[in-house]
Amino acid sequence: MTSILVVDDSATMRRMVMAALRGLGDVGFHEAQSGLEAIERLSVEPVDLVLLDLNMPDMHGLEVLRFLRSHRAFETLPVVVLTTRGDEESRAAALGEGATLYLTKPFAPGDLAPRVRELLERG
Amino acid sequence: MEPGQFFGGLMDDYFAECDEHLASLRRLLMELEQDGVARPFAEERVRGIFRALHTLKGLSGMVGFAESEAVAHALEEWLRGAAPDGFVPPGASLDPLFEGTALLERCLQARRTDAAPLEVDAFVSRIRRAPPEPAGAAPAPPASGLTAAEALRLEAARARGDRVQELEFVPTPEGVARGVGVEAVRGRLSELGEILQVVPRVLPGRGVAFRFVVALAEGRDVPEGWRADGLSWEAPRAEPREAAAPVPGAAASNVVRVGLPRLDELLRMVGELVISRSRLNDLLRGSWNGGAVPLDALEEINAGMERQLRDLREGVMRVRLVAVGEAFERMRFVVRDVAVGAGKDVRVEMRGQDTELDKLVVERMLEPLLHLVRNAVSHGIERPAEREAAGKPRQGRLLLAASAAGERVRVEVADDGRGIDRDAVAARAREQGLAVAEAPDDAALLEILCTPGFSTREVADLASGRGIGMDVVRSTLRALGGELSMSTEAGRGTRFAVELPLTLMIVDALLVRIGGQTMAVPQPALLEVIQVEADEVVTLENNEVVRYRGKVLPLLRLGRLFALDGDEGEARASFPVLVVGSEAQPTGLAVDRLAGLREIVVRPLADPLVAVPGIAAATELGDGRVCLILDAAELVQLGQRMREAAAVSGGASSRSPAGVA
Amino acid sequence: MSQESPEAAADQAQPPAATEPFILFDLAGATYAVRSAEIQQLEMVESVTPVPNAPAAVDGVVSVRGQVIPVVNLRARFGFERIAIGLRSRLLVVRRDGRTVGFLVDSAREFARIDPGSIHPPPEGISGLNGRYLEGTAHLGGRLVLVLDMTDLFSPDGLEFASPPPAATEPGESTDP
Repeated sequence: MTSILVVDDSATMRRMVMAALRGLGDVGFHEAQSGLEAIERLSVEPVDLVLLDLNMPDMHGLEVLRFLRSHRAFETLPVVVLTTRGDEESRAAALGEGATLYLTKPFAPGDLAPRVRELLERG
Repeated sequence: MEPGQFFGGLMDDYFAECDEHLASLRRLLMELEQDGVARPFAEERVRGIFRALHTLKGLSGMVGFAESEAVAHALEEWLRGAAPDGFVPPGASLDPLFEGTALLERCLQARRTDAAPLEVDAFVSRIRRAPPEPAGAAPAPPASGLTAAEALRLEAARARGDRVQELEFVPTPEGVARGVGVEAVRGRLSELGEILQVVPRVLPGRGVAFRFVVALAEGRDVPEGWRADGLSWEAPRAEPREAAAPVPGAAASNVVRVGLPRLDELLRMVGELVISRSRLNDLLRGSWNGGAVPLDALEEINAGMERQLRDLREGVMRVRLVAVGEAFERMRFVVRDVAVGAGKDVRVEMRGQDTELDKLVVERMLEPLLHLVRNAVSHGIERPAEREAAGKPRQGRLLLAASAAGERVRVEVADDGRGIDRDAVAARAREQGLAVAEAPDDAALLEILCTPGFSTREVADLASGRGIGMDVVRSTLRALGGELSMSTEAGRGTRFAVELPLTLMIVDALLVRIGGQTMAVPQPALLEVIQVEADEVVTLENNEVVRYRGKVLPLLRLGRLFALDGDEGEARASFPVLVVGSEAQPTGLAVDRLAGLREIVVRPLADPLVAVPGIAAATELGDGRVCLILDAAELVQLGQRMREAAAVSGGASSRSPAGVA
Repeated sequence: MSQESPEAAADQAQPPAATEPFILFDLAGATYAVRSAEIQQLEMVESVTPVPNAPAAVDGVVSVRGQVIPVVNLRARFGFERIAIGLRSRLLVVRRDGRTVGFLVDSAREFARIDPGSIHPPPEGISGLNGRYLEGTAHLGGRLVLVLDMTDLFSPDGLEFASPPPAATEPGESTDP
């Protein structure tokens, strides 16, 4: 079974992301409400893909990404960064820090699943 | 599929979370304004505002609420322009943010009530023009080390001479599974003092460690037991620390956020019930094996379970409790609005924000209290010049206070303004034909103000006039089980106080007439309501029954049960019957007439003097009269016992006589 | 009326005592006094909602300050005939041990200060039901006032709750066809 970690400090947003990805089939979801929790989750069990929000309190998504990429175990982990329209700076920074994919919110529900599936198959 | 449709099931979450973020916005804006933008924590607050706007924008976009998304986005852009590098220049006005937050609230409210989405283009284009448009980025995350806020905290703690403790936490799969994760550890540590910083560290393999820097509160130390949870540390050194981040307020209608400690407590109570039941089980098993049934033990368990159920019920009711602080914040927001509009300078003081009240009560008391608050600012508190001339400080003071006293909570709105002009009000009242004593006291004054239709220039006001007068304020609060009182002193100010019940239960109920009296039956207890013809009633072994859905429905005539003779009695040709109980074994409660459906506020009826089987509670009908609420389940049992008693006595009469109490 | 002069005895036994505030009310032709500290409030009464099968002396319930409380008809409680509620009727709302109960009396509008030391114990003649509730008697300007002890009035003991009428006949009773 594929394991996906959804990281966002907004509980509603996490639920929306999971709802949008339901069509993927045999997928198990983990949730993290902060960067710290995301890092912790990744360290205690294997995860196939991470959806990461950037704008979080205490530890910005970019910091999380930077940390992950500095860890041999997570160098190649697929990370999809989700952020809002118009934030060009963040897009460049995210890709610079090693995001596998950059998607903007709001995303049409039908758009997310195919892109994620593609990444999983590639991996 | 439309995004709104796709995420339809998450709308409650959406609204609840938006409310939280709006509450954060309100609080952060008020704090920024009061403490000043150049003060400590301003940068942190600005970042908090950005995050709230960002999330509001994201969520609104996801559900297709373009207008909310646009407003949030516009505010974010404006703030980016006004605060490059995350610092707001001193002297900058935050008005667009205040305005925008209020607009967002209205947008959300419109969506919540399915009204047409609001037009926001005017606002958006107006603030777009306001500050210059530098290409500033949103506050960037720190590369490493302390942020400005963290540095500030370190400074403050250093000045205080606090001890600084560094700890390392390594999460393990077992630990996380049993609830000891990094956020849990963070929670624990925040009880010991202020968390300065949390930084992750790479460990060989796939492991990570989290380094916490905590400034310990006086006398607190890390308990040794925590070493078993994956924490390691050495003795603390002297260093300062900082205040914790504020938590968003309570959520909105129909959704309550429950703290885990409260749930744990409920779980514990359930555990006690489980134990009682298992003792019961043991006793029964013992008796099956030929032992005698120990009645004393059964009595004890019965009494114990009754108490445990009562506690559990109370515990569940308490889940509905929320702190009034959130409501006070909203009132503070309104005060600012009204004060600015009326040219007054008002400082809001709050006390007892942590006092808890039923969520429903808090929501429904908000409007009446807001009316009092608007009045206080518009009419009570004088303009700065007038205050100065009277020897008062130019800034007026509005106090919002809450305190708990047993099963009731007292909420006060007090101002230090000019007070209510007793003579003017009395004179006006006489003019309007009301009977008024020579020098009315506070209670009499309140009576006058709350008389429907009474108005003086002091009471009617453009800013506060949203169609509700003092009479509606009082009746709304009364409907919540609260009572309004007032005290006022010329030149010194006015204080309104309302005492509200701690918990509130509101149900839909069917009103019925029984023997000349009106009573209420909670709708959840009703399976169905049918009309029965007198000649359909058959007497079987001393029970009156009717045919019902292929079964036999025993009838309980409530008029007889309650020994109420009415104008109509058994002579009626047809009468309504309330079908209650279980679908498998229903019972019919026969009444004289139906009197409508009503939403009622349940008032407990606990006194032993009126603990009568079949009556559960009471409510107040609009005219102030008390109406009793029936306990359907008890009535069914009562009927059952009566039938059994009759069967035991082998009563032979074929028609039950009208009973006499 | 007592034979000796307890006032003199009381004065010699104690130093001049402070007076306490009392509320005076009328009931069936007599004047009673209750310590003000016991009375939460005095209310006018309009209508009482009857509670079926409640004890006979309990007229029903009424709403006071948002709380629904029982109304004990003091006339009935003391065995006097009931009278209709009128403009002078008052409800003495008493709070004790977490319970709030209203007592219906004929009228109540006077306040007086009484020196507890001057309260004579109830005369020998009064016994039974009413004797239990009397703390004693006091003289107020030539008037005899009965000082009431509210404690026992709160208890439902001794009050019969009516049981719901049986479906047909009383269990155990022989039935006539």
